[in-house]
Amino acid sequence: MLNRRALTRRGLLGGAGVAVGAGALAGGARAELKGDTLVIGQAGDIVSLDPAYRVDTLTGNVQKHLYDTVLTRRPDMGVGPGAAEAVERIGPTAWRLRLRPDRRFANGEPVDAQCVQYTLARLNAPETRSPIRSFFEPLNKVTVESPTSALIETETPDALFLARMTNLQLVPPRATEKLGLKFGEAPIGSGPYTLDHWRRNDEVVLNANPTYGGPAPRFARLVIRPVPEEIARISAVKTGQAQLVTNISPNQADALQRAGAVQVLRTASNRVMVVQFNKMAAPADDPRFRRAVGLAINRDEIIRGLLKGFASPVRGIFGAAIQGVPQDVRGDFDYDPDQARRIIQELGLAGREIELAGAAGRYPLDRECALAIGAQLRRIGLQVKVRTSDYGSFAEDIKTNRVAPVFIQPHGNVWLDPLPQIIAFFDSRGHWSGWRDPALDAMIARAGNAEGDARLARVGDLIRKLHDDAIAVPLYADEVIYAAVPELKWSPRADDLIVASEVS
Amino acid sequence: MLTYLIRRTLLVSVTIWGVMTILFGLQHLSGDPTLLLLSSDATEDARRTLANQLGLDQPLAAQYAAFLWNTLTGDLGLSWKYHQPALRIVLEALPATALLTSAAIALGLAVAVPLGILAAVYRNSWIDTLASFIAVLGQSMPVYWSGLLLILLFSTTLRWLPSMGSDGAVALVLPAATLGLNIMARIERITRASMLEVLGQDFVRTLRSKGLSERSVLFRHGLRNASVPIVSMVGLQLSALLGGAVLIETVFAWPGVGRLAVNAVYARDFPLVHAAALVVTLTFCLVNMLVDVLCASLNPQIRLD
Repeated sequence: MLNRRALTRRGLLGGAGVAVGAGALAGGARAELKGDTLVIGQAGDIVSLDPAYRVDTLTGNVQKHLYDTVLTRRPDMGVGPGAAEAVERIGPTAWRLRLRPDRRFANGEPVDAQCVQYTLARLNAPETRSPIRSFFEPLNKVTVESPTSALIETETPDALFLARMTNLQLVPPRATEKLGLKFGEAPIGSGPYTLDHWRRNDEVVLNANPTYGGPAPRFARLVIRPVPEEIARISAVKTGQAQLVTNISPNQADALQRAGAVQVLRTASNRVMVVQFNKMAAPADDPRFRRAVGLAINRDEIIRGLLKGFASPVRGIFGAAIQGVPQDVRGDFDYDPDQARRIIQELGLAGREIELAGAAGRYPLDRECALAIGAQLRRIGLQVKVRTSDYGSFAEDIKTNRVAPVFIQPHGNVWLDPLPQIIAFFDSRGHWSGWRDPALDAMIARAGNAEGDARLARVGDLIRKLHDDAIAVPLYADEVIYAAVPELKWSPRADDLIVASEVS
Repeated sequence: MLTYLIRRTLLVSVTIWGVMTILFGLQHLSGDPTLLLLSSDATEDARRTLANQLGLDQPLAAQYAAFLWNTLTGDLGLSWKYHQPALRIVLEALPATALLTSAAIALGLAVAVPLGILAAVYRNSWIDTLASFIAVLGQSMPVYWSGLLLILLFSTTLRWLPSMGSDGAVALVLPAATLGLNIMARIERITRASMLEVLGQDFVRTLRSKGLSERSVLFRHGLRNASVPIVSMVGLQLSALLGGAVLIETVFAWPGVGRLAVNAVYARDFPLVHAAALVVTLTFCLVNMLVDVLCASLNPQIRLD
């Protein structure tokens, strides 16, 4: 038999070796903060480096640094100059872009009127299969007046024109054509950074663009890493592997704020949680039932208890940064459980089993929010069954009216304008809409054709309609929460984007 | 051997056909992918146009035929999400998963086999109890949970190891250890059981009576005879490892096939799911075939024909 004592000694020696080895690794694992590199940890990977395929903020955070947009969103969400130093409205349906003469793409191609024309034509070409084509579809007539002047005409007055320009990332015609599909992995832009490399699901590394026409970037290198697990993201910022990480949940943010080792940065988002109804499923076809649901929900309880204060109640279905929303019109419901209970009893629905649906994992604590609302609806006498699923299945159910009578729909708004959000979620043609109401559709169309004060008034009418018919019960706008190393200075933006030039 | 290889290749083809057919059915039960592929302001016309471009408006039988043909020719098209060739994306991610699972298996074997031998040799001693404890721990803790615990200990608290990414060998330690811990438990139990069985056989008594050293009895004769079930177990564990790798790749931000496939499922990116399923199924079938050949070479009593 083997000598037990010798084995034990060997075991101990082996153990000591492992410990020493681990200690040696320690030095290599410690990342030091480097003044010229900013490492950002995001909750997911980007989709493409080609701006024609940008559909999410994660991708937007990278592309924002590679490409110039015609106009830019300032940190206060106002519109400022970009590749164009000015945009003039020269008629109800005509706009002139005055482009800066000094901007060039990294390959030397000029940022000129022709590239504006090409970029829009490419986005609108069916064969490009751009998921954001609808956003630019109204801009289908572009005339090159000179290298620095482009005339864009629309068929009808376009209230979203400036918003569209803040999203129009310009690409170089020759390089884009030459590279074809490869452009999505080896992009050429005119932004403050150029691509060093992209390893899918691992990291995107950008270097400062030496030929950039604007102010020199603060960081020479930008590293953006997808880190899906929140604990790993927090660990990364605590240990200096990253300087800034996104998508911190309210629970973790609360704990981090108490511990104080890292900064918690937060801002109100444009994401609003809204309770909606499937009119095809009884009893949600009855506006009295829908109103009872609105009255039964205690938003403050959810915000304080579940979201630890990392959300704010909304007066309508819009986040605070959405422009063109009348401030004197309320679209939310006061909490009045007694009245809600009375309505439910009058309708003979007490004890009735109702299904409540929601998405899980799309926005912070969305599943828990559904469970909390389910519990609140039980207090007014309904038997509520809560069912959550991934957003794809949930969206399909909404679109096909297979969704539960009551459901919680997270609303996003990248346009910073109320109408596209109303269209997407309530118009019969809306991408996320299962609601069919010709009167509402007509009101939306009228608002879309109006401008200035008339448009503001019609948006007000729409908010009233959504409230009075109890079509939507606005809950709260959640906050975008980040964790950062203590020395980082940055104010988060309402559009969720991280712009390196705003970080110091 | 040739007959065996031909037979197995045919069986692999049938397996792939079965997996692909199930996958096709599940994909089409999961709903309309165009809803997730377009932005919120997309019109119904845009959705219909996209459905037409992707061939989703074709009859199901035509879609199935195209799907099988694409599988056969390896032309799986462009990923709907990434707009790059789906198969290439998966093949680019494959080395990371292969590295992770290989490291986990190597780590599992390096710890579990000696531990299993010790547990068999020192049966019912404290070493055996310790080995059982490790086995229970490794098997009962979900890899997701043990991964988070290891991050909190080695990354956040001790700051020895990174919690994310794939930069260098150091980044491999935590994910491989987490995945290895899970496989380690099973290998340790099978090694112990197999060694106990072998050490109780007559030929071992004969070897000892002939005066062979205990080391030679254990490692040269005992372990060799006990290794067939261990090798089979490692082969079978590959599927469990691939399943575990999905979670581990997510926890540690490891850029492998598992994470890619899960994200593709959520995004309803059919070509990418198709490519990932094809590559994983093929890998699994090939590894199993390799394990059979290896077992035959370890034990001449096993005949492949």
